[in-house]
Amino acid sequence: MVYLDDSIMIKGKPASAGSKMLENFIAPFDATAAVRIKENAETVRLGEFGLKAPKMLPDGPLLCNDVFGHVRAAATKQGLYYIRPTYGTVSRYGLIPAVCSMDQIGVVCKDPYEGFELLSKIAGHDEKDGAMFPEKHYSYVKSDKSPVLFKEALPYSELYGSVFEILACAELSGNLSRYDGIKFGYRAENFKGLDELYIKTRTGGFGNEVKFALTAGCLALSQDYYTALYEKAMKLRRLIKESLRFDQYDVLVLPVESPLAVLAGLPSLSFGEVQLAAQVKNEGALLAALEVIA
Amino acid sequence: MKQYEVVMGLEVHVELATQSKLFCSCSAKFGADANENVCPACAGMPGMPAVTNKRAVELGIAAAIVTNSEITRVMSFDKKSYFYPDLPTGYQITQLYAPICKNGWVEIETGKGKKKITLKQIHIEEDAGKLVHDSRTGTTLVDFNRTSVPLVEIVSNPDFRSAEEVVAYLEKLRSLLSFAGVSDCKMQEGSMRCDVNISVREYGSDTLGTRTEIKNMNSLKAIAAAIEFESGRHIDALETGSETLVQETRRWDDNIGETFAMREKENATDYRYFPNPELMPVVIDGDWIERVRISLPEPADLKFERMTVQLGLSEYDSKIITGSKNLSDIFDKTRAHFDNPKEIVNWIIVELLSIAKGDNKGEDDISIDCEKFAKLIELVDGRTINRNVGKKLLVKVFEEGIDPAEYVKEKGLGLISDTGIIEDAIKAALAENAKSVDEYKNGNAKVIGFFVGRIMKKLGGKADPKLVNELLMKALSDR
Repeated sequence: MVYLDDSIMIKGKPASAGSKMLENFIAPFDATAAVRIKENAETVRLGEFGLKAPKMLPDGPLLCNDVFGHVRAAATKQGLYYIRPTYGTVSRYGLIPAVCSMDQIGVVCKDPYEGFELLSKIAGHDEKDGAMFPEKHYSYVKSDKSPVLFKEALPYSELYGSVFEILACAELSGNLSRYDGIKFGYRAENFKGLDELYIKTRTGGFGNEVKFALTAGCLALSQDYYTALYEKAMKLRRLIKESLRFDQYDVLVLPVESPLAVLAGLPSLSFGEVQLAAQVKNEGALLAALEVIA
Repeated sequence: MKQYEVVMGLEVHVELATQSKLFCSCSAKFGADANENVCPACAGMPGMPAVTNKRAVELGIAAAIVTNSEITRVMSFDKKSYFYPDLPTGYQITQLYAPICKNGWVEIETGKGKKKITLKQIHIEEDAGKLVHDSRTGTTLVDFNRTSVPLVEIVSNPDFRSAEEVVAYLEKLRSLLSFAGVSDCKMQEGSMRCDVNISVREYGSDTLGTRTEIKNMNSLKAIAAAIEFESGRHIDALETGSETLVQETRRWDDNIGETFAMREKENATDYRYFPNPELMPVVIDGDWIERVRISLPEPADLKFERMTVQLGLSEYDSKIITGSKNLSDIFDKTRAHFDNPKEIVNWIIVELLSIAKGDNKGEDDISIDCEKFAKLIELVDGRTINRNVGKKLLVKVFEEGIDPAEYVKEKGLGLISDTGIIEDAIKAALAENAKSVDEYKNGNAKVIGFFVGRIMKKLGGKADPKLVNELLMKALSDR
């Protein structure tokens, strides 16, 4: 049995992304990841659009899209692993989008090898997702390297959080504007006119965390703040990616809360209080050097 | 009174002639039942990542080539956000930061001569759906068929000084784009739409006046009328101070013949444009541009030249044929089956167009089986049937799609060219009208027509007129 965050669609089953907004939304088709696991799957409801901490993670392996780090943190507390593969290696067809440039299905598991086995089934090119690497299959290999530790200050690390927040909220505000009470999902009752339909629906359908993120995201994209916030964050994101010196190291050890791996699209694995982020150069070497944490 | 100059820039939306929509595989065809061409993606449901339609990019490249534009080597898409029920995702995917091309130009010709209209840019974007108000129930319904149908928006610089120039430009664009296969450019069906940015200034001034944007014109006539009304309103305001002009979007009402300001809110939207993170930038390399360039069909002006110079057709006829991509295609396809350009042009212009007109169809809406059309022209040209029968048959080919050769055989409509039968009829006609034969011998040539009529009647109107004449003259001189 594999559990699926219900933002990963299974045809005919509710797909709510944990939101009241989509409480009555039944998935109209299967997500590629759901089709590829070829195992019994059951959906579970996690925090609303990944912005809220889930109360309890299931005891079996769980596929989910963890952009905001709440699943990572919850997994850590429950003594579980969380593995997030490289951005663009797992199809997002059938995944309810939150932050397009960071959305990536990952896995929570008791044993990392069990997680890698599951990932090797679902990863690989899918023509229905326009932003993927072309490789059809990926294998996740064990590295026999012995770790040599060295410490180095990462440039911009104090900005990871702000850059992440600005970009994630901005993109979220775009992706969540489809929930307007017109076509599907929750619609407020008793409204007069179109504006009130929008306002009452979105006020009643979204939780506070989502409302806060959407407001921040719209602000970052507004004419008055675009240059100061969104554009600057985009530039910093590029600088952050360029600053990662993977010619000198294979793996970065970061606090679980750091959004760096998500921001840079890196594969990562978290366990205990730490998260490991690596860069992948070719197929067959996703998340090498796992022995570091064994 | 002061002299005023009208300054205008155009935003022309043209629907691209792709089979499918811009970011999903739904059909982009016009005229389907409401919400027939809709999938979860273009209905705004979550979970279907957008995948760019390569054909739409190719047609965009073609539009860039025929408008002499500079093509962007790495183009990308952006999101433009606003809430409206005809926009199911809450954002329109369009191009702001890296549009497909920039700095093009189109040459137009008016009574004042030739002029270059310069283009700021062309960008690709998705269309919105359509709201239908149901007055019976007082509700508004949404049809998402048009949602995500690919468009190009062609943005000109403020180069226009008269409605005549605007109309000439739109006709030129229609010709360039329809001949290149970019779009069918039908204003009535909404596949070509035009918004006019207009301002008025004192003649000789080099600063621009307050600008308004006029929308909702669905014919060239409406565009010319809207320009006349709106420029008149601006001049009145400047002359009399009767109202203060404000920068706003105004809607043309074709029934009333005036423009009206749209709700203030629609003028004050912050669209929160940002690069669409869902879509990879599209690399347009030189090879791709070259492949599109080579595959472009012959443009109208070259075709006109070929028709007049090589085929020796009249300028008047050639202009009518090359004025419509559809007529031009009918001409080419018919010629492939029966190579007699002159006859084909005659049949298209004299007969086909009038039949279509009676059927309330414009030049661009005519559809006919060109192989059968060619066969029909060949039957008349080879004198198997006469022209009058041919005209009647054309109606049947046009309306019912009959096979003219089969039909002629079945109904026995073929001309009689058996000299024996014709000679017998002539003999009988002359014998019955001995008096008229005498009149002929006394020098009255007019009776020939009378004889021909009699002979034709005997043969049911199916005799070859040329042959009848020949044999009649011979018979008369033998007497």
